Amino acid sequence: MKFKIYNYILCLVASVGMMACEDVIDVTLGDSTPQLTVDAWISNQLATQTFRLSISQDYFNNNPTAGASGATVVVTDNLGNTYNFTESTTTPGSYTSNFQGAIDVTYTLNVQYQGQEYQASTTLSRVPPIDSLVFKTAEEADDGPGSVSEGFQAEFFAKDIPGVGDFYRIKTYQNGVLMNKPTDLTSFQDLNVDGLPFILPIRLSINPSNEDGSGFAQGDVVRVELLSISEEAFLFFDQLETQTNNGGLFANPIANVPTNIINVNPSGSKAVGFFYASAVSTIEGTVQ
Amino acid sequence: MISILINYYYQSTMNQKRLRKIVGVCLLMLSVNLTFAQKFTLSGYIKDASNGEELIGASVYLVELKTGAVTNEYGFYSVKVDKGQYTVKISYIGYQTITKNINLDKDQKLDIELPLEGKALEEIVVTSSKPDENIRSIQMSVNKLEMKTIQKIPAFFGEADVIRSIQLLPGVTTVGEGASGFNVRGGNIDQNLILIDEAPVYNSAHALGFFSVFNPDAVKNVKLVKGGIPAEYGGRLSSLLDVRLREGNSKQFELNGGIGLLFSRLSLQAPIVKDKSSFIIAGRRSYVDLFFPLLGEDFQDTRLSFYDLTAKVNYTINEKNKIYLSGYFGRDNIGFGDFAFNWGNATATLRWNHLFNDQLFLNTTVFYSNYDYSIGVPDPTDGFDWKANILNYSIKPEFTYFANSNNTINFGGQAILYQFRPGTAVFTSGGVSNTISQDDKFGLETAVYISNEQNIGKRITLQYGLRYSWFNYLGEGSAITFGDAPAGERRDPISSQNFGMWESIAQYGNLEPRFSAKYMLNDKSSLKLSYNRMAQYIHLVSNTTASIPLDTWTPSTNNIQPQLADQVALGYFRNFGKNNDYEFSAETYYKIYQNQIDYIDGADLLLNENLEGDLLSGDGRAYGLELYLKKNSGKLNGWISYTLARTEQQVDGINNNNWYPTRFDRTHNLYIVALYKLSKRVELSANFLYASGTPATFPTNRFEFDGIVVPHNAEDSRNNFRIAASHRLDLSLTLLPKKTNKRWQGSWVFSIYNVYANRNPFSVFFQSDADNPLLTQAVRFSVIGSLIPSVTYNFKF
Repeated sequence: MKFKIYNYILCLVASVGMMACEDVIDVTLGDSTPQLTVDAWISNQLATQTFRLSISQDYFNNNPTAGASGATVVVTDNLGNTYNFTESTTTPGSYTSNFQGAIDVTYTLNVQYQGQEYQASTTLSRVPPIDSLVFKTAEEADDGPGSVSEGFQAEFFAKDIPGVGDFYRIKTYQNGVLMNKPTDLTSFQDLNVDGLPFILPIRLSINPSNEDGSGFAQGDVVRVELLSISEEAFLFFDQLETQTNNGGLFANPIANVPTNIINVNPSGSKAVGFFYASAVSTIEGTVQ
Repeated sequence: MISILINYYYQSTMNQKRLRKIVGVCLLMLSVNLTFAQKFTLSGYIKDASNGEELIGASVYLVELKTGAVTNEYGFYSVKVDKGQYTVKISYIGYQTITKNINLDKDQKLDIELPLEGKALEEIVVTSSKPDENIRSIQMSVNKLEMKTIQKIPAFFGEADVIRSIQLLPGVTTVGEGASGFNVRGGNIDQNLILIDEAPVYNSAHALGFFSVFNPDAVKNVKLVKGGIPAEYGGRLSSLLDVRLREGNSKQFELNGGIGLLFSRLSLQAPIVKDKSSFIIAGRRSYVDLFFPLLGEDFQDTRLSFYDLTAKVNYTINEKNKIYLSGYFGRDNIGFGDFAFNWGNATATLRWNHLFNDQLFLNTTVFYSNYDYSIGVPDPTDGFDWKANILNYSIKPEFTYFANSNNTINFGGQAILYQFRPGTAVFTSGGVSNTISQDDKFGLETAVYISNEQNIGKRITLQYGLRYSWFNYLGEGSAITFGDAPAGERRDPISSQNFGMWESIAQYGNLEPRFSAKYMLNDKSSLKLSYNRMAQYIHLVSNTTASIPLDTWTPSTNNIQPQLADQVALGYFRNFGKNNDYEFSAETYYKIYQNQIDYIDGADLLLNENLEGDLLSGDGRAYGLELYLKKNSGKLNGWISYTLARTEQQVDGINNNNWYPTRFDRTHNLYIVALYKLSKRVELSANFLYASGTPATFPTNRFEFDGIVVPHNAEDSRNNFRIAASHRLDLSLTLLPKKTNKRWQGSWVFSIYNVYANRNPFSVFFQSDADNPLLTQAVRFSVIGSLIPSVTYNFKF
């Protein structure tokens, strides 16, 4: 677990003084350099793996990023298997292959795009089961991060497998839709909490972060996915969370999130994004 | 030279053969003095007649010789001159000048109590020094602030504050409003040695950075030294902030206090044994949290408070011995629901002034300081708890030998034992606990120094000295060795070696030469030059925009080299007007830093036993020009300060290995402070500040990952943009009491902070719109978004 207390303190200072304020301003940024973006995830629960390759663009260009078409995408594993990906004819930049990930297997990604060759590798790690998912009304809800002032608060329970070195990401779906705001990003490690039941802030992290404080509604179907990720992927998601939720008095310095996509030619053009693999535990419940 | 030797051997009262060696060395450094005339010493203490407070920097001037002395931090002076009849003028701004005729035919003691000037109570006093000390003193790059001035500057929520007043001086900047600490000539906030009665304060901030720990009612004198730092001080690279507490009124009972919107103050002073012993005790408590329940349900569980207590007692044992005991204790509490966070400093200082004879003065300081913080959710089933602290124990003997009117020798030493306790954290989940504790780290910092201040003729004064500091990083603990990694990336531990208690893990020694020179161009102007090398063995580990109270300090270790700085400064000092009504100075400086700490991207700084693998080390450079014009007298007082500066760093692995400006680099800094006496009962004051924007890293690109828009800087550059400049006007009006014979005197201070409600940018960050993630925006964050009116009632009894 990593402390995210800056936000607490900031919130306190801002609210106490009621003096701080935030304004959207115009900023002129320098020239951008378009880069290949790799968004590649292998799951042990899916029969078809889908990767997206795209091109980065000006920060203030509000169009969706363009898919990177015409790449050669191949995944090999340490058991000697090779999986070739084919690009979708309808969605440029979307590449699929039919295979299922397996625990303790190391995968290597190879992408050839516009004369450059990129590589990345990752290992698919173990994941504990999710034991239960419960809902409480706002009146009974716990304080702190994940608190709700109206509606329902969800809490899931799971226990870390003994042995330091487990890293996790949590994804929550509300009525089948992934809750995917930067504030919904949750990743954590068992460094200081090895073998313990997941701590309270993690158990409550699946709640929506709505500005009005509302939680889930009666009848909502809530699905929680617990993903095992590699240490490198944890550092990536941790930075992704920090950098997309940055600001305030104690802001972290703006820095690039790391990448494990390496150009085999060190002087070639660089890529961004990440390649990771997960074992997934799932639980689903209906708020009532 | 010979006379010094003779004098030295004739000092039968001196009982220190050990000293002979040290003094012997400095005798060699003295100029040849071939006068054979008999010389005698005039020495004593200068005090305030109204309350017995010793006056720091009061002038004792021998009119016939056009020479004299200035009192030290304990009000003591000593001057050795030829036998003769002299007119002695004792002066201090705001006090009546006393003139005495003496016949110096033997060593003589002259203690003087200066009465306040008749009108002085109503006048605004900007400086406590003699009017031309700025041009005559060897010291350059020094700013003094009298508490009377600090109390008149328009203040945030009307509360006079030492640190925020310091921030109006040339060469001093901050990263923004509300940030704790201050930056001096391109130095980081951990490079300021902040001393409260000689004991160091690690966190000078209350309520994050809005107020400082110094209770204005208990402070006597504030001095900031930015360059030409004398040899007796060391351990920090950039500045010395020397805060001296009052001794306590030794004549009569005195009560001071104030009631403001955020907190109240109360201080008591009284003699214990008249003219022998007195005390002061001063406390503050904030009460903004008491109003939270009124603000609605959301604030019910919010806590934000601080308090502090400052106390001091002194006792004059006899003419040759005096002791002072002072202490500070303060604590901040922040909380929200179950979440609790608190921190504080506690310091205790015992000082002993001893006069071996009228030429050799010894001050020995022994101090203890404890800075601690804890953070947690104290819940037996689901909580966490983390406590950490830094303990210091120190002894510091400092000798001053007033050899003659041309030479004053300082020598002494210091030993500080540091105990860093990075903390024990207990994580509890579902009733099961994990305890994570990191090894304590010990360090012993020792130093010896010697320096001489020498007058050569009427125009030239030199101060030259040498300090040798030595740091020993000690067990018990394990020293980790890290492997190699590409520049700018995390280095993983490869081996670890255990060390026993008090076993040395790493040692560093540094010679720190100090040199200052002054040349009087004429009676009204002088040129000054200084060079100093400083070494720093403890480091603040923080990579957030503003430092937070739980930022950890670490000693130099086998992986962290001591920080070093070399500074050269050149200054021109000039006074104008009949009574030196105006002071002007222009100073330039150039500094080179070594072993500056920076961080890898995504560094994990909290509770990380492999923290040192996330640290980078690089070089720094800072240079600038400081212009300062001050008006000392008349109805309108104040100053204008302008600083043009640049501060840069070069760290392998950051910014493609190129130099980049630091987060607190501000190009132009203009501060104007004006104090105006409208009538006998009404005083107006105003501040205006303008500072260029600070550098920041902005993205150039965006990419999408799993549906989230991610900012990205394709050039890997650091601090490639600047946020907009800041400017602000503050006003205040003080209503003084009618002149009566009543002892109770109350005054009202009405103030408006940020009069035209400017939203000064603290930082700019980038985010996706909450409703449409594809829509990205730049957001300006301002700590203060409006004007802040306030009223404070101060009283004195």
